[in-house]
Amino acid sequence: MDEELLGEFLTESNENLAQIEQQLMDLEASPEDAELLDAIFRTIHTVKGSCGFLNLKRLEKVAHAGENLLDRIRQLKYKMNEDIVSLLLECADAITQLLEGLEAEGKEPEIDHSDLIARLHACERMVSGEDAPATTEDTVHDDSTRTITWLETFETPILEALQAKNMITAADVIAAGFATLRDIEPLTSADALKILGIARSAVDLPGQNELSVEQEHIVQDKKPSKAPKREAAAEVVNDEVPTVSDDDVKTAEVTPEKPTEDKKEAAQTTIPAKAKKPQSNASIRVDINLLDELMNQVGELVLTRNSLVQMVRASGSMELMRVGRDVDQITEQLQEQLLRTRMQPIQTIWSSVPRIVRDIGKQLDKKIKVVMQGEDTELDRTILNALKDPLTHIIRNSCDHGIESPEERLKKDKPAQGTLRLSAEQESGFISIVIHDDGGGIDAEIIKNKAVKMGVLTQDQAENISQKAALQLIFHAGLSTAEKVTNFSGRGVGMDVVRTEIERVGGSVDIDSTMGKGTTLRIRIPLTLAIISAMVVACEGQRFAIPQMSVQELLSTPEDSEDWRTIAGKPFYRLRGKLLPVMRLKQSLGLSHSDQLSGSIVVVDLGDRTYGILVDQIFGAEEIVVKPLGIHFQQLNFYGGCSILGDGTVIPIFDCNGLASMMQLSAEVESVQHLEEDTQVGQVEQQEHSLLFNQSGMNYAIPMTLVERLEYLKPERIERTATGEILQYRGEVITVLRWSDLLGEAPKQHDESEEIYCLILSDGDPNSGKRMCLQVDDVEDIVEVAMDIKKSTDNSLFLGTTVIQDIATEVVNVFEVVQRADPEWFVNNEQDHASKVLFVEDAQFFRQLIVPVLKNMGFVIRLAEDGEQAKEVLNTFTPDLILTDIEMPNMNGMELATWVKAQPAFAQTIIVALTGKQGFDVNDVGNHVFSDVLSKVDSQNLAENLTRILQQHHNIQHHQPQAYETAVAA
Amino acid sequence: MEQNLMPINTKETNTAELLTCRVGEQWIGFRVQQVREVVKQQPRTHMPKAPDAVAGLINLRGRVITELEVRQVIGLPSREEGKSFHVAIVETMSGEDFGLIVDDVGEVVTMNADAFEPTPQSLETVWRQVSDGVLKQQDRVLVLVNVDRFIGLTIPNLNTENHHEMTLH
Repeated sequence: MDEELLGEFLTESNENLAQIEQQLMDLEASPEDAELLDAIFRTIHTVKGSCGFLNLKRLEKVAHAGENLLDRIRQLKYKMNEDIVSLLLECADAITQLLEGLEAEGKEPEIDHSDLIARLHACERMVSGEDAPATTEDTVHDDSTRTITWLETFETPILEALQAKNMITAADVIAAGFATLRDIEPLTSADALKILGIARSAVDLPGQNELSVEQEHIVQDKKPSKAPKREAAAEVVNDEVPTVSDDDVKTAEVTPEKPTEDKKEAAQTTIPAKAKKPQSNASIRVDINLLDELMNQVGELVLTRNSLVQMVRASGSMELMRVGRDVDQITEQLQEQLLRTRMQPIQTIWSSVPRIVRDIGKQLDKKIKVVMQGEDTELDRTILNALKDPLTHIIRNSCDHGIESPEERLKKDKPAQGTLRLSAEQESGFISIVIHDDGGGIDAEIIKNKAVKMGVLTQDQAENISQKAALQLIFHAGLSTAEKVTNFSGRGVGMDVVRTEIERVGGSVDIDSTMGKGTTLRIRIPLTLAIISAMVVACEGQRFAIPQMSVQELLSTPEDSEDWRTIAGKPFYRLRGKLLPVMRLKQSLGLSHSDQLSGSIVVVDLGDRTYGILVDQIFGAEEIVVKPLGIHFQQLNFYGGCSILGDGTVIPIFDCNGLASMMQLSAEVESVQHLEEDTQVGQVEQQEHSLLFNQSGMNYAIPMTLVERLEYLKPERIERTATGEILQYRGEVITVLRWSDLLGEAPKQHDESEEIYCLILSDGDPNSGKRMCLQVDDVEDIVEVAMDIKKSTDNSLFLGTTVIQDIATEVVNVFEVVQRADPEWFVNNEQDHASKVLFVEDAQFFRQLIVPVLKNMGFVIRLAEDGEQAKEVLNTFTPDLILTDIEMPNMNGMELATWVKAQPAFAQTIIVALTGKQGFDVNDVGNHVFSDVLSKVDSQNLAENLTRILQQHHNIQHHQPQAYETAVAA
Repeated sequence: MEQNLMPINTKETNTAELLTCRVGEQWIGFRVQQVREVVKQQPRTHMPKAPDAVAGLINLRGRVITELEVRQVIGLPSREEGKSFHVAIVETMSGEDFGLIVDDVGEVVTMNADAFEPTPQSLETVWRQVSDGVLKQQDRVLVLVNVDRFIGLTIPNLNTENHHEMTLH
């Protein structure tokens, strides 16, 4: 068999067959499109024709059966239906399969397609009805009456050229041979091959030829339409074909044999002129292993280049530097271009999508249209291969569970046909692939419930988790492998595998969904794996590489930065209002036990989660060649590989997903929750009213917690006494402090007539009735802002500095102010014994705010930052009162209270919840574990309320112990 | 430990040559066919959290090789600080090469079938696990170490539940 011919045939057929799938599906959509049908017919016809020429019998049989069916449909204008399309698709698949085998082994693979052929025949019969044989004969007659009709698929210039050469019949063409044909302008060699193929198959047709095959073929053509025994007969006939066509083959072989020499000569003379079709020669086939090997070598070259450049730089020689620069540039280009050779358009894996979607749609009676965007986006082939399965899985899920049935869709006012949208685009070094369906969406609530049931989330976590974070749970192995989840959420089985697969090639995936509107999956994946850009960092003198693709930003963080927070012993860094969980690399890797927080943070963004890696030093980004690690590191998923730096040092490369799971952020929820919780703290708990005032050009904010009233008074109302200034206010004499005095500034001179601002501060206790007046110069505004203290201060008058409406503002420590007015302000007069209080609060701000209140009530105070810490404190401390925040990391107030109530040792302990939410009722918080719920924003009444609660408890304890017990039990 | 008697085919090893290495006071032998080369101390990259036997990674002319501390595997105390050592680069069935850190490297001996004896049951477990037999010489007993089994010992979980999945590759 002629290698060259076979090669051309394969290239040609593969190209055609790549289209045929889409064409068939288009035809299904518009069955009346005769042109489309013709195009499909031509493709199959050409394949069949060439098969005859190349003596590919299996392929010919399959193609022939398909061709016959198509031809019949064409002639009878039979309306295309889904079943026929399915059958024809199957036929195309079979042809592709055979072609693949042929390409791989150089001969036809031994695959039995007799069943498919039988069904194609049966279908053909169904299409033709009873008068099939007559029709065949009509066609035959038709054919013979026309001159060059057997070549109808070719363009007129070609036909004219052939006619001009007196090649009218198929036999003429065969006689002329390949080389002669090819040299006829404007025929290309591919055309020549096609024409020969068609000629070969045309002479096989009855009534138009001289070969002995004639009889057999008539039998073959007629029998299928007749008898029940047709299949067997067809087989017999086909089995005979080899013997018969041996003759054909001989003639066929002779034909190309002879012209080989002519061809060579012709080639020599015509090559310059033949530049018109360069594509056919512009690409060559290269063994992929060779490319991989080449890639490795270039990787080595890049490394050598790196060390060379370093040495050259050290040498200081200008000449060397110039050469070095050239080597540098050439290496870079070489690397870049070699990388390009491994790139393939994403189309290569997307092309199967319409087919998958069609098949599922048909199976489930759904109408789904596929829209693709950016099919020509290129990716490294290794990555493409890795993406194929996850992508198929996602698409199946979308079709299966995302998009609803047409009836359902119509009910929801959606078009009956669902849309699956795939898009890909390149974004600086990585590819973003989005798969969107306009289906029913995923109900986050159901996922949450399931997650709670499966123990992936606690009830409380589930309540606090955002919709988006809940959706990410479908990638959680514990959830997605559970069968039941699949039934309700739709997406589940193997979604964890999808994620694992994608992460394996350095990608990330996240999901978003709107109920009723649809679901969107986003995949982010690097362009190439072999050479990556990485951030080189150092920790305890050792260097590590972090893939640049995951790096969001770099932060320099002094240890005393105000933005550090410690929650349950874990460091967080406040970054633009969100708490970033930070991994101390040296601790996590066991390099050192120091818990210092100095150094730099590499902020890593994995799509669904963000965290920081605290390192000693950041060297900068470098292009590195990824090398695999040995078997000893297989279990260590935080290593993604290693590389060799310019100086020859081996450097480990981190896998940021693995690092995340090492810091136990793997449960995506946890991290997102941390962030979210903090956002809530910022938005709900710390949103509070503050009074802004200005003094000598400086801005101050005073939390309204203790401000009872803002008075606008005539200056003379403030009276001077021996002990200081006083104000007569509502029948009382209260101390007046001037803000300027507190700051040690000269008081502003006021006109006698000009009224002045006085803030009446009160602890809100009507019995003690303690009040004071703070005189300030200019009151600007009262705002509701998050008290996010950016910078602390040594001055006890202030809590620190915050930014309000873009202006740096000092936050006044009210408690200090009132204590300056009356050092004994908070000393409780009638406290006979000091009550012991455990105050559990994660937000530093509120600790600062409330602790003084408690202190001044004379309590013995212990602090904890969350429930877990509180439990530890309770090992050694039995408080009378536990005052706890509700929203906290690790163990929240509710869990803590429930736990405490279960401990006999704390039967006498009162638990009071503090909440940032307004209008909270004790009954809103379940199980009656709390004696009361107080607002921490309204700390004005805190002291009063606590006194009341302790008083009540005291009474109950003394007079109605039974009732108390019962109340608790209830 | 019956299986440990198996691997040596006497006929095949009749002419086999062994590279002798010293670890502590013990001499061990590796089949010369499996030893690619012996190198001196190389700059090594420590790999945090790696299995105990892993000393680190070295760059051997552009190839990254995992170095294993033989002393650690056979339960000897760590080498004194600053004391020199050699690294035998060995190849395994899996295709991955490893650097085995030994205290010293001796001559190459020709395996004598008569001198070869099955691993004595009196040897410590770890020796019985890695030994393919012993060779009694005038003044010492040379343990023939099966490189693949030796490497297997250094990989955590290889002998536990994941055995079927964790094949050397």
